[in-house]
Amino acid sequence: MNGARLYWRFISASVKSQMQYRWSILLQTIGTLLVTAIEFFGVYALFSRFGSLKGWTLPEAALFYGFINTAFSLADACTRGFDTLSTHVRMGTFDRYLLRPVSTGLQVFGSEFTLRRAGRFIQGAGVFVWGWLQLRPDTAGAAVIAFALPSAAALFSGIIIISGAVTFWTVESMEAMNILTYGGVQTGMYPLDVYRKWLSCFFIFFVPIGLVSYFPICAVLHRSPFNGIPFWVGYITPAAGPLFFFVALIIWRSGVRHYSSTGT
Amino acid sequence: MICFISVVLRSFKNSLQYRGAAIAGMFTQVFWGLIMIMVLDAFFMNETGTAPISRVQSITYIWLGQAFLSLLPWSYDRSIQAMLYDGRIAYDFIRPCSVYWLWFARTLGWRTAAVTLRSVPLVLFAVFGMRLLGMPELAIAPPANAVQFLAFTLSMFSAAVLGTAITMMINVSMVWTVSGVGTVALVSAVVTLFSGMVIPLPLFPEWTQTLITLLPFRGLVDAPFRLYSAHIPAKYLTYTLLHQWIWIAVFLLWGKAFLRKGAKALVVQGG
Repeated sequence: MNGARLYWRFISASVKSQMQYRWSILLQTIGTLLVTAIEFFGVYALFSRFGSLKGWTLPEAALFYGFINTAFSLADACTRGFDTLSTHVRMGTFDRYLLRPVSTGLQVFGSEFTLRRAGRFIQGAGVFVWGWLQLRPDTAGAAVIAFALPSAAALFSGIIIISGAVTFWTVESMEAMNILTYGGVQTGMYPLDVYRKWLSCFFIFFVPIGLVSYFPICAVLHRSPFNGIPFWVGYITPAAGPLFFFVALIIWRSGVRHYSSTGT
Repeated sequence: MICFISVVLRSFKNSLQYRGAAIAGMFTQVFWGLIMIMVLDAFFMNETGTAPISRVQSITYIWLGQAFLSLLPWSYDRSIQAMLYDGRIAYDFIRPCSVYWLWFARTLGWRTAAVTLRSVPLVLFAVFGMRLLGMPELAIAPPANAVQFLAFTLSMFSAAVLGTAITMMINVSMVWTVSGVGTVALVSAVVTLFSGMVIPLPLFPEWTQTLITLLPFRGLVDAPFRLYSAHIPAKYLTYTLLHQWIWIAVFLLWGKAFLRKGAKALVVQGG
């Protein structure tokens, strides 16, 4: 059986099992929807108080905010297995994955597709569409988003895979990795040029969240991302997402090789 | 009363052991604080002096928010949840003191321990770390003066009690729901927004100001922090304390009645 079909099977099994608790899922989705909606209320309040942010308007900020949340929720739903990996490493139950004749990465990916992440997705997509309808960018813009959204999801998945792989060495999951995932989302909610240089450089060159979200949205808006950089650069930069994902898979493999069972 | 104090102290000491987790959490909080501060700073760049709170006051507000984050009632007492799961909760009901105050003391203990562990290094970072990193303009400002600082301290103590009283509502609700996850998600959303943790409350739109002034949550974050930077002059301290303690009384009475009802509905899981 090929990988894609097998993954599909895993996912449908996971969805089916979660649907046994449909009320719980629904309530949690509404809960997240509320929590994230409150975040956007903060953005709205600041814009209504100050008018603009370094020349950015509220609908433009809505694009950044909506995009990063949508991309992250997609990645977050697919990679739950990597989040909970430290338990498997500590208990030695990761052995089970090694015994099966399928790649470990595919199995961990397939271990859960988290439905309750839908709350953040709905909210992010809603805000994004609202901003889009206000601004009405050209079709080239739509094409960039179609390319950048999966790239950004791939990038976030890459970060989560790496933080999972790190547990092969550290056993404990590292809270500091949250800075890269949730911190990255938090940073990406506003255009990258509002931050100090070191922070934007960190999220461009080290963990390239800026390349998959800030640059392409600048391209959509035909606005130069930083002084002297033409807007069309953002048509290309989302390629960093799949690249980062690929690097993450390499790190994952070497982590798996490093794994030694606790034997319980 | 002696029972109450000793439970607070023991719970405080127990929670002080989790230093590692507190330090790991501090990194994330510093990062959070920095991002929010940079965003606010950028908003203030083309501001012409009409904002209802100054740039420096807002920056200080955010830092204090990160320092006192653990006081916020957006989590529940895990030990109570564990006891509800396996039925040990029955022991709490046969002790010769009020269950409500017993839980209250435990919660107050771990909340203050968590704040003690995090606030000191965080404030030190916000003062010195920011200067060492070459961002003195984003560092926390000192308290406006000694009187304001005293007012801040007083209302911060009340904030700790208020936070505990609200946490008790979540704790007691678990008698029915067992898992506090859903309740916490909803409560924390409301608390975060209306306490001032998302953005400083004075920056909220005018039409919301009456509502947020009446709600209890500004007593957790907003009121003490504004006393610190003299955004609220110390002479209005009585109003702040009155607001906090009226709400504390409301939550105490409500929580106690809630628990009395819950005790009747409580099912002890045997095993």
